[in-house]
Amino acid sequence: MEIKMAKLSQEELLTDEGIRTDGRKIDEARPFEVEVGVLTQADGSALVRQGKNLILAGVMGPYEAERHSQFLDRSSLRVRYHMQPYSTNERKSPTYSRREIELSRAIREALEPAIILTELPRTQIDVFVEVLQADGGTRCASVNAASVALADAGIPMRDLVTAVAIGKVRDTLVVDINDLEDENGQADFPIAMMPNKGKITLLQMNGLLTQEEIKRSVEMAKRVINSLYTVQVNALKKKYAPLAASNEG
Amino acid sequence: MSERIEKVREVVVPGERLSDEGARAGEGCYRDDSAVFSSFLGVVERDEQRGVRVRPLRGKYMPKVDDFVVGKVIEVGLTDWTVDINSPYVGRLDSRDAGIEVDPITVDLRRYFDVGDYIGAKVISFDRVTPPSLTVRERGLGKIRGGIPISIIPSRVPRVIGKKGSMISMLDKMLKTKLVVGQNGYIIIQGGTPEDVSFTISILRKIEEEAYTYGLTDRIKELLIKRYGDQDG
Repeated sequence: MEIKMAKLSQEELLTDEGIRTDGRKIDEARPFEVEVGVLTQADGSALVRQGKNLILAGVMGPYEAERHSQFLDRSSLRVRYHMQPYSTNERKSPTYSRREIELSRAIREALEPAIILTELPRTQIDVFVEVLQADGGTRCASVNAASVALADAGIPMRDLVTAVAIGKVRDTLVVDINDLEDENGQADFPIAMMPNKGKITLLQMNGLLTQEEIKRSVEMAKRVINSLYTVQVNALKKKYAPLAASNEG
Repeated sequence: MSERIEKVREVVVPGERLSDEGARAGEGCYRDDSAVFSSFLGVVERDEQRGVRVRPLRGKYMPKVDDFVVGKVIEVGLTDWTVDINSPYVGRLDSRDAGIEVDPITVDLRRYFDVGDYIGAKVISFDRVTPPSLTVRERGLGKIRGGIPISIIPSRVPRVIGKKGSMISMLDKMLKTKLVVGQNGYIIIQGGTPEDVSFTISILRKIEEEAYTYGLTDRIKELLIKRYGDQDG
C-alpha cells in the first residue's frame, strides 16, 4: 500500500534495526536498471529504473543551431526535464512548472562538464527527460538516463555522469533516498560525478548536514556511484554484444 | 543456421581508460593526466604507429577535407548551392567549384543542380566556423543520375569500403547494382532489377548492423555467392 498521509516520524523512516521504509539498509541503493536505445527515431535514448523511478531520456542532435542560439566555439546543450501528470500519486499539472525549469538547469549543468562541447561548434544538442514515474531522487535518475542517452547518440564525452542522492533520516545518513525519505527526512543531498575522473558535477542540498556528514556523504555517494556506473557501462556495451553472446552461449 | 561470428571488437564507453603513457591519442580519444581515454561509445583500434583510436558506433557525419560525400541539394542560391550531407553542418557548393562562371542575372543555377538532386562531391575545406565547402570539379564528381538513395550510420561506412577497399570491390564485382558510397553515409544504388536493389539494401543493412564484428567480409561473400553464384570459378 502507498503510504500517503501526514509527515512520517524519523522513527518510522528508520527502525531501530536500521531498516528503511522500503526494507533497505542504510547503505543499500535501490535496484538500478538501464536500457539503451529504446527509441528508434531519437539520435540516442535510455530508459532508467531507479527504485520506482521510471525515466526516459531522448537525445536529438547535434544539429545546426538556430542563429540566435548558436555559439561559434562550442555546441549549446539544452535540457528539458518534464514530469508526466501520472508520474506522482497526486496528479501533476502537465504544464511546465518552476520546479521543472530549475531541475532542467541543474541536470544540464551536471551533464555539461562531461560533454566535449568544443568539438561541435555552432551546433545544438537537445536532451529530453520524461519522468514517467517518480519516487524521489528524480534529478539523479534523470542525470543517469541522460548521460547514457548522450553516449548512445554518439556525442563526444569526457566521461559518463552518474548521480545519487544521499539523505539524512533519524540523524543517520542513508544512500539513494526514496520519495518518503526525501519528503520527511532531515536532508536531501544529490551528487553527480564523472566516475572515471572523480569529479563532482552536481552538488545540491536541501536540509541540514554537518561538515563531517557532508564529507561522509560524498564518500558514500562515491561508492554507490561506482556501482551504478557499472550498470550504465554494461547497458551501453550490451547493446552491441548480442552477436558475441550468440557465439559464446 | 550457423552464425559464424568469431569475435566482436572491443567496445568502449566515453571516459574509459584505453592505455597509459606512451600511446598516442588518435581520433575519438583524448589525453588526460598522461593516460588516454575514449571520448565515444565506439570500437577501439590499436595500431603500433598511429596509436589508439576509437571509431564511434553512432553519431552524425563530421566533414573531413578530401572526403568523398554524397549530398542532396536543398537550396539553390544565386551563386551557390546548399547541400545536405547528413551532418550537423550543411555543405556549401560555390558555383566556381562547379566550374561555372556565373552571372546571376543571366544564369539560373537550377539548370545545373536543382533542389532534390543528388551530387557526388568532395570536401575541400572545413573549419567548423564556416559551412564545409564542396567541389565537383574533379573526375567522377557531379550530379548522380538515377538510383535509389539510402542512408547508413556514417561511422560504419569504412566497413562498407573495407580494408584497402576489399569490401566495396567485392560488392562491385558480385552485386548486380552499382553503388555510390559517400563517407557521410549516403549511398546511391544504381541499376539492377527491383529484386537486385532490395537484395543490395539487405546486404548494406547487414554490413551496417554487424560493422563491429570480425570476419564480416567472408560472411557477406557467402551471401553473395548464395544469391548469384560464384563468379570467380
